[in-house]
Amino acid sequence: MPRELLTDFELMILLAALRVGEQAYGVPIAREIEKTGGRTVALAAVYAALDRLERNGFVSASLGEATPERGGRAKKLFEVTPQGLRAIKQTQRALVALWTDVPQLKGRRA
Amino acid sequence: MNPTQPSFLVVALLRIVESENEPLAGDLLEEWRAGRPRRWLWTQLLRAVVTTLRQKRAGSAQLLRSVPSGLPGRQGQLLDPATLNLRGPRVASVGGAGLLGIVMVITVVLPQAWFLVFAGVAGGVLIGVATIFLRRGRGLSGPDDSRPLSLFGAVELTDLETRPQVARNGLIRLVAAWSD
Repeated sequence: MPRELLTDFELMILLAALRVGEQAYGVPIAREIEKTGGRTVALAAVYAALDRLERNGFVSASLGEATPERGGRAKKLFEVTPQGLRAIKQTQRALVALWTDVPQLKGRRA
Repeated sequence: MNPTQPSFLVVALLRIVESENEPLAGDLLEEWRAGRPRRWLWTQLLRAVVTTLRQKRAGSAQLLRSVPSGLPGRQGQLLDPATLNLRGPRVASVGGAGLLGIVMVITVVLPQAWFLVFAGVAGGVLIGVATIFLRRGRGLSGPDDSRPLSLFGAVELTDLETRPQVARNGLIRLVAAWSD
């Protein structure tokens, strides 16, 4: 049975893929994480995580168009599956449960 | 916008990445042509190459683990398939991306250092040839099956001869052979 809780990077990737929408492939996902997360990401790390997520059934992949800018190489488009959505919600619940009632974090803004 | 054609080295590294992950190679090229700086490309490319080589290594190990029994080694014992290298003398087996990184750093930062590298290689070859010459002259046989196949493993130590003495004696013989 695949695990349902995600790592922070996997969670960011899934959320970025959801924000990007239909044309979610490596470049826009990495850009979304850079824009919203404020951190530079390696495309290789993004693909390694996406492969892992695909193996666990959290995303499904399909081949997209090949453009001249890409040297004729096809895009790999990713879509978050219902199982992936469930994993996001479970991870969120787990994080919120950990977050609440921590005295050091009460009354502070992130 | 960056130039349409990347450099030869970039193309070569992209081919390595492409062998395992074609979309990743396409993404790197697309981003670079969209105007990402050269430093960004090199950082991403080197990380992609490292990831690719790791994936290839993991793939080979997985393939070997799928073999039901190990392969027979010396003296009949079975070798751990994960420790075997059946892929031949490829770059990954002699250092892979690390070796490539060292070559690039030497070339870019201190090209004069290549003299030392070549001098080291030449010195190693010279010592090897001299060792063979000396051992032939002494009529020593090679290592037998009960000992590791190491060049220096064949040197027999007696009670009176320690390893530094062996090295000293070897040097004296080398000088004597040259002076003859």
